[in-house]
Amino acid sequence: MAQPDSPEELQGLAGEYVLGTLDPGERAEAERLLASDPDFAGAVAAWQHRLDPLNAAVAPVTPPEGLFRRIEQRLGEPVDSAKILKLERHLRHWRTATLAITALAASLIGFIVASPREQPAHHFVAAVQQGEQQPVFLVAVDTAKGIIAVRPVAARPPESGRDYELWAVGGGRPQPQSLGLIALKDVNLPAARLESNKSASFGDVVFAVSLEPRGGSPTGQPTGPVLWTGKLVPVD
Amino acid sequence: MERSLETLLAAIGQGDRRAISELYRATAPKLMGIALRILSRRELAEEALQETYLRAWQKASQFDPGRGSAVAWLAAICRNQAIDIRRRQAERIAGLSDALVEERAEAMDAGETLALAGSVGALAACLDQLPENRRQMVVRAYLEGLTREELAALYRMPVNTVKTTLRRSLIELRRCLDGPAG
Repeated sequence: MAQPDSPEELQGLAGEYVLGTLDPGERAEAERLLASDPDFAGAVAAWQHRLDPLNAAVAPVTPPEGLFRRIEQRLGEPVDSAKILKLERHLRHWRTATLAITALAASLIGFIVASPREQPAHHFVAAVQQGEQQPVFLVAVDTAKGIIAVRPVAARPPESGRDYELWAVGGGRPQPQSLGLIALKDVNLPAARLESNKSASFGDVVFAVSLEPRGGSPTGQPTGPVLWTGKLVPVD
Repeated sequence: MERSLETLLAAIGQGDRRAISELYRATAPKLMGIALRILSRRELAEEALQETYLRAWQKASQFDPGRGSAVAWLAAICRNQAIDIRRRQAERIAGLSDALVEERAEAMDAGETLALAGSVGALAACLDQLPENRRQMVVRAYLEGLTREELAALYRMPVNTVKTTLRRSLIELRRCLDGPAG
């Protein structure tokens, strides 16, 4: 697992996490550390304690009547339902987004137009994103040409000394499979890396992008935070 | 008898609905103030409050009075929710030009925010030891939820410089607050 390299880095990451100034990738990493690293959790708690006096200075504002009733109605939900509802919202959003993205991907990647109808689907596309945010990468698979085409949409460069790595998850794989490093330019990876060219199994594949040390994961499994994911869907 | 917030959290951990209602009455205006300063829009601040009290309901048993007050615990949850909501909003208007980022950040009432920071005891004394711009950047990031990009536009420096500047300020604050051994 990636850990902050030095006490200064740990303090800096914890302090900026509390300030709220980390970028989305760093924030995801901080949240992962918060759950897994007691030293980091302790540093975050100490920063919350140090900076909390600033909250004391903020003037109270009366919330609207009825806000508590809305909260109370949701208390009956099972403990994790807030999370589940959020996931369902993401899923709905993802479905809508995927429809729009499919058209966008078709025009961007350009190899979908000539697809003969009677053939089984050879083209798959995934919009790789975080939650409800816009896609960060588009990943299209063309089994006939044997390529996985990765196109950056709204990706930012990884922090220095790091690389983005693309993984295939699911579809019968016991563990995530590395498809290679991706960058802020068009990258074509060999589709053979997806192991099987049987289109049927592609339906269950999810692509994930993790933040790894320069050159990719040293272990063959994701070591950094998973920043974005997207489900592979067939395109006709 | 009125129960302390810490007692209320212990009761909420046991599923006491009256206790969460009391906790809400005692703390919601404070949290609304905090969320509104970060989010600027009331409906977004209300969303942050809803999420905050739902988390308080679910996680009350994890509250450790040895690590800080109940209000500080709630404020930390609330700020996290507000910052997440603010970042999601920012993503929705991604592609915003630098000029717009700057305009949006400048529209906030910085003077008022900075005046707030003057009355917070040891922290204020340590903040005062930072150069003026660096003090402002820390306070506005914390209270207004400004991103590195917004700070870069406002204080006219590259985003990477914002990061190193904030971290240097944090190191100095920590040394000042915890003493040299800290």
